[in-house]
Amino acid sequence: MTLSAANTLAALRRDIASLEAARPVSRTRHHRLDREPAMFCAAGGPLRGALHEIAAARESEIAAATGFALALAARATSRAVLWTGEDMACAESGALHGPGLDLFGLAPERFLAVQAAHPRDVLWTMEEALRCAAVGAVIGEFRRSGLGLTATRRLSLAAASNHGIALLLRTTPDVEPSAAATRWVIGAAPSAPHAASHAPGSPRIEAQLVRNRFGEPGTWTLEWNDDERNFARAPADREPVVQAAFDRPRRAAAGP
Amino acid sequence: MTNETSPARQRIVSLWFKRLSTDRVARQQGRDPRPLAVFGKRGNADCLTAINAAAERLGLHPGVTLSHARALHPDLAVVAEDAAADAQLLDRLTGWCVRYTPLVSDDAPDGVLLDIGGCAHLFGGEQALIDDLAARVAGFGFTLRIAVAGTIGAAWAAARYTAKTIVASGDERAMLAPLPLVALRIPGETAATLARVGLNRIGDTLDMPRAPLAARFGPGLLRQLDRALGKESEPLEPRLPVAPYIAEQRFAEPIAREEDVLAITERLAGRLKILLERGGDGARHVELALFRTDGAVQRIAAGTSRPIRDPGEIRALFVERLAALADEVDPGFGYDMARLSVTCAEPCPPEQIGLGGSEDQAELDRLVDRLSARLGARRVTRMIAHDSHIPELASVTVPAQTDAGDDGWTAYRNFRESEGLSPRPLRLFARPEPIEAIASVPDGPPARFRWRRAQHEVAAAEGPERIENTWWNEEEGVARDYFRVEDTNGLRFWLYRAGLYRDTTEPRWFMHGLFA
Repeated sequence: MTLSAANTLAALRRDIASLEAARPVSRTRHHRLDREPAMFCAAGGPLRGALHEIAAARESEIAAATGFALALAARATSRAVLWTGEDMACAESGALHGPGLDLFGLAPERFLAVQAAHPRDVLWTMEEALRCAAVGAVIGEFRRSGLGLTATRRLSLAAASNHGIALLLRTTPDVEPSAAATRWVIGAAPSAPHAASHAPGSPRIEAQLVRNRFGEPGTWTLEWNDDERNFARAPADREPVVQAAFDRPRRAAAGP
Repeated sequence: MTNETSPARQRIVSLWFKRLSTDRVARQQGRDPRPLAVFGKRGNADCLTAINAAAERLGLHPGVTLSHARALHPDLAVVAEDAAADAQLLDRLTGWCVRYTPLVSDDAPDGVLLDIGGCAHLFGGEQALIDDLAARVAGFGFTLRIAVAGTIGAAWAAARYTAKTIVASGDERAMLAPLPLVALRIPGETAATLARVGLNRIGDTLDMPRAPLAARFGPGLLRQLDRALGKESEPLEPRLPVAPYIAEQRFAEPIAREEDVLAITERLAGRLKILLERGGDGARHVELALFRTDGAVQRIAAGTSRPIRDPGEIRALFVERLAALADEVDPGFGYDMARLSVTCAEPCPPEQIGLGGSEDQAELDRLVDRLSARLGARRVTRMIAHDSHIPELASVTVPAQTDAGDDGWTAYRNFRESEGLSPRPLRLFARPEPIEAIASVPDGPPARFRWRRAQHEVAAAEGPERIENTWWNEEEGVARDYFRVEDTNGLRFWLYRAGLYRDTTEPRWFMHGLFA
């Protein structure tokens, strides 16, 4: 390649890079993603100014995915949070319950809920909210797959414009190409019940990072930590002091 | 434009659509020079209720029985009456008359009343206004008789019983004297009784002593007489509420493009801003009325979360509304008048610039307004804590544009701490779904259950938490025992058993919510 051609190519690449991101994303933060998922939800916080896709492994596990999405939103911002979805989503999976949001460190008064009749209205709402400076996180629930590259790209750009976070909540994993920074598949995991009372313990989820633009994918079992209000790695399985009832065997929890 | 005009300044226009029914039919079926009549059942026979000009020339009049009319003129076209369609048409005409003045009322079954007391000068005088109105209505294809007078009674009588169009205030007595008594809008029986004692014209009753008239014929006759002469005031009740602030613009050339409509909206909003500032108010609800050249009127309304005055913000609201209503707003051949009115105004504090915290709230309010304008105010909601034990009532959603005041969550959190409530689910179903469950002990949690065609084995459970229903709800008065269960796969549910275990042998179980 001649020198002038190489120079032209370099100049074009620089132009494209400057057009693509108004704010260049630093690479150092994301290296934490692959090694310490707890960091993803704790110190560094989820990647802001980007779009993340969170899918439930099965439709029945939508609540686990919702909890994970809400935890990310709570970590990412202290400003208003917008929750939007189609009418069907509310009817099939249930509506967000104010008293339940408290558990995730999200004050219900920060929430704005928008129900739309059509998926394109949901997308429009998400874009409008991301461009509003007063909204820090936007969670959009979709039942059908296939948002497409263009729509996800628009959402990423909108999120980058105000350094907010956009979360797509899906009922089934999607394999279509998307401009999301990370793609998660969340499943429910059995919790460690309280030894004495056999009550369900702190919620646990199986988080699988399927696609990560700035790091390595991986799988982790996360447990909700009530004091710190975040999802952290589940501790190694504790043996209950009292043996579980012999006619109700418990499944051994999956390791990290 | 003031809302009320004193009786001395009231100038009423009475429109009489003489042949409303037949004109309606003629508009639908095309102009036919043949005689046409509308018939309906009166008593036991079918009679003609309305006739067109050609039928009138043949000598027919309303009240003639249908068979008689058909026998005389076999080629008479007849249509069954449709009172509902007539009423709807009158309604639309009344709505159209709003372009002249907001004080418009319909005068069933075939008339419209307008109060042009303060606005005749805008059209170049009463005569010019009437000419313009008559010309447009004739263009729509209606036969119209029109009169202006100082009172409703006088205008009504003048339109129907005289050929006069303008009656100056003070001339009512002279105008009314030669007219028959039914011109006062009194019931037919009263008029017949009066005729029996020899009183046929209004002039006969004007000079009679009042007490015997009232005693013999009731107070109605005197009241109508006083109202027609202006001694007692009869205000016009506008059909649509009159907005406190209105700005309008008429166009020499009709406009049809959306950008032009938005530009004119912004200009009208600029005029409204001056009026609002003078009144110390801001707009909470704004309506844009677009008058098409062919007579149809389109109204687009938008609401806001807080009182606003800025023309740019009002324009932004209508951008969203027009985007949402794209298919329904059809300009036809164009709009020749646009009117922007503030239908709901609230006191608006003076603008505050700067001070970070309020900026965020203002930004959020603007977002809520845009979303509500595009999707509808009920789809954009906030959660309010409600003082109730019943889970589906503990948190209610209200439209985000309403002023919530205290949303109750601090009080809820205090209550939760003090009572030690067990955790509530993240997602709650609006209607609990029935499930089939088997419990190992009658009052204990289920051992396994079946929900949405999937079997779940319970691994851990917490409960029961008994939530009683309100005592005044007889039908749903059963208590609920809630259990927080986790199945062997790690899914966590909130389900309840309806009814105490000792009351029924077949307890009913329901799924109410999901935990993360």
